[in-house]
Amino acid sequence: MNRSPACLAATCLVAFLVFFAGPLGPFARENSGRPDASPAAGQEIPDWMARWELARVLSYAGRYEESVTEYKKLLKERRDLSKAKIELSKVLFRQKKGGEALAVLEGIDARQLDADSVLLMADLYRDRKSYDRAATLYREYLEKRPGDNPARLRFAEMLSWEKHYDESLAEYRKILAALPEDVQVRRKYAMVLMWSKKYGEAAAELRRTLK
Amino acid sequence: MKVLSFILSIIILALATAATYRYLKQDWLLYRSAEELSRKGAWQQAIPICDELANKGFRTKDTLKLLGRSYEETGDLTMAIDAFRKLLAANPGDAGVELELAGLYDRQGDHAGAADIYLALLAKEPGNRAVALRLARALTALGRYDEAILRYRAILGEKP
Repeated sequence: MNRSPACLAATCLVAFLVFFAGPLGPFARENSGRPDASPAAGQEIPDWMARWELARVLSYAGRYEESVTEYKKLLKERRDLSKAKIELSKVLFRQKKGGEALAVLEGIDARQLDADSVLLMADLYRDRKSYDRAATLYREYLEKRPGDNPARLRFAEMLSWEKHYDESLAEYRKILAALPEDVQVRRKYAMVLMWSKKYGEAAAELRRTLK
Repeated sequence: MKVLSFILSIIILALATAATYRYLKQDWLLYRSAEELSRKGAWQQAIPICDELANKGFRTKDTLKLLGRSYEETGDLTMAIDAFRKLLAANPGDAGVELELAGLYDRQGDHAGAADIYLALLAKEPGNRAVALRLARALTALGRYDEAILRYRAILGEKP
């Protein structure tokens, strides 16, 4: 009988430990780490986000007219979305609405333009014979992507139209250094040599294209 | 003497209880250590513990969830999907688990698998915009643009 206090104390201790350490205890948690993902999470999707994605998908599907409509609705609500403006300009460009595309690009802070947009703007200025503006943008673009030979070729051609032959020839040489076997580029290079009255060099280059 | 034997009995019992607890509740201790590792971001170390516990059938739901997330965090999406599939088998119809599984399918590039789950979830809860948006994205990734467009229009409450 004199053991009863010890037994009582032990029973209390065991009960205490089991309660606090077991699954029903206050320290037991059902979940770990991140909160549960639930289909309700993120229910508050703003309409502008869904509309932006819709505009993109419409352009992927080639439904440019509808895409432009959605981009315009989006930009009416969110004028700050430079990226959406850039996308809109690309859709307009695909619709062969270069003037509208350029107007959209011109409305964007130049610092927000990515390399592709800079190139698109350069091409659009070139098409509109705004060669000075185009040249600045081509240079900016080619600094970022020096390996884009098709873009460099368009720049080189434009320089030759403006009679900036030396600059044009320098660009052609860069392209030919990368693509020495490209006959068409070499012939264009030869033409610029002729326009700059370097007939001997032009003949040599043309001869190389006939081998 | 009585007091001394009482104190001694208490100490012995306390030690015995602690030892018994450690022996009997080993799995709990392991689970807690895996949880702790995951909280610290030591996902790779949590995996073998969760795996062992899951194989023993210990707290299957939480253990499998932790196992799946550990694999996901280490970039092993195949194993993460496997864990979440087992979790779903243990808890059929758990929308949260289904959504996580679909998200993993999407990340792995199995957009068709993800779309099936989203469709099933939407059948249960047609007004869930979050799921509808994920479905639209999965359809876009699959190149099923016309279906995706319809979904987006529905999300925006517009007629097709």
